[in-house]
Amino acid sequence: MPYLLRMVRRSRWEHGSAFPWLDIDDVQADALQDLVPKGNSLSFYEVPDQSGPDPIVFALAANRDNFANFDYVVVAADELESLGIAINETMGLTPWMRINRLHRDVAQLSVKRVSGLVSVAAKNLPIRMNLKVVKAGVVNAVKDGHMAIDQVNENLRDKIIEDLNRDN
Amino acid sequence: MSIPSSTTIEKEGPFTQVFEGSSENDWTPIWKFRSEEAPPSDDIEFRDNQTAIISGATFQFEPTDYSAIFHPWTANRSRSRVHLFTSPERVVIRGLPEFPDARILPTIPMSSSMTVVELERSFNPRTHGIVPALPNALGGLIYGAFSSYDASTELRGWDLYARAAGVALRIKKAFEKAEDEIFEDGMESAFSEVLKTIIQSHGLIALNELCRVISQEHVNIESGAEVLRQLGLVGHSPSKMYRRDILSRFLESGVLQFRDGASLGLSFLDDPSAIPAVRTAIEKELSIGVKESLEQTLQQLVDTQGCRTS
Repeated sequence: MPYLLRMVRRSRWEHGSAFPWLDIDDVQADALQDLVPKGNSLSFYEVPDQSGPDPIVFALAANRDNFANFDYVVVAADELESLGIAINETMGLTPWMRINRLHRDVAQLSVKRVSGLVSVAAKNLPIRMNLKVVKAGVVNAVKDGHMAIDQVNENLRDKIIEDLNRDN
Repeated sequence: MSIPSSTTIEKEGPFTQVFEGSSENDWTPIWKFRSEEAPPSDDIEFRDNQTAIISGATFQFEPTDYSAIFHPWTANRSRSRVHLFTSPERVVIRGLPEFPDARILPTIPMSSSMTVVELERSFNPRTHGIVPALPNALGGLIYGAFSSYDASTELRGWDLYARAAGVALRIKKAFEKAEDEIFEDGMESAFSEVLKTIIQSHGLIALNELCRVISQEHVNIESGAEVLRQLGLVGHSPSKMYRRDILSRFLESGVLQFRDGASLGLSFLDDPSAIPAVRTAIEKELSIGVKESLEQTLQQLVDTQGCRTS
């Protein structure tokens, strides 16, 4: 059963005693800020069984403006399909070609289906990878030739080169 | 907390910058300098009760602006507030005695080496005997004759006040615009760009104001949390220690998103001297997610410390 990954901001998905006004199985409405559809679709990446989610995180992080923590949710594809949500294979736009092939459009979204998607995604607290792990992963992916430095966000290039030179 | 009816004279210097009112009901800016060492008369010019030119810079006032440090001379009485820097350790906003909604705001302790502003002289014109004929409304006015200094910008006195007022206005506008933004980790936003620019240009003045704004009860939580993340990312070494202090303090915030933002900000800052604050926060933290974030931050800081000592 494939799993799908999407970047979020974890504090929007927190519940528990900090939010006494939330029902036990409910989520802050702020979580919707992480699920704003375009053309009734949302971008996800399928997590490969072999390597797990880390390469996807590094590929997406290489597109960002700064090295920072990376928070993400993982949902089971069949749970989305049971909500009537379509999952279409399309190419992603990261600097890592192999990862781009894992891109999925979660499509045909309605308000009701987004609500269902939130419930599925909120079953577990999003996972956080911290800045240093993210940075090391991106640097290694460049070093190992998975991503070309000139394809990485230009704001990150100097920092990556600095780290690569330090390793050498 | 009760509001003092007047300030006391902290220290009487060799000169005072005095602004005199003409009468209780006349709030048009008829004020004059009474000191040889006061700024030259062309340093401050009031165009009307909404505009002043201070040290060559034009300022537009709004009744609710933090530029209220100038309000005693310019703005609507019913909204007047006075911004006093009463000691290196605290920044206090005192309302005038006739304004019951005035309050004293808690502020952050500052490192002794990074004092933002220091009060050298303040006085109450009434107790000072300068305006003895004025009734309470005016007699309660607090005027400051400040000789202040911001080490990060090397600004003093009026220049510092003028700068602070301008920075406060920019920050206020940035927060207003930020309400329409959705923030993503690792991505620049219009808000983050403004924050970085303001901090890099105005140093501790900007940080002091940002800290004040996000300490307010009704601040937008998303924007406040974004400020805390950005405090760890901005490149401005003169204020690094101060930013660390702010972030450490917000680890104890009552707002979960702020605690998480502060934890992330400290991980971005990567300063091992925050380790004790993070350890204390872990012990107190009730949220599983924030606790996990703090533990990650702690581990990172310990690793960084190990790298630096090895």
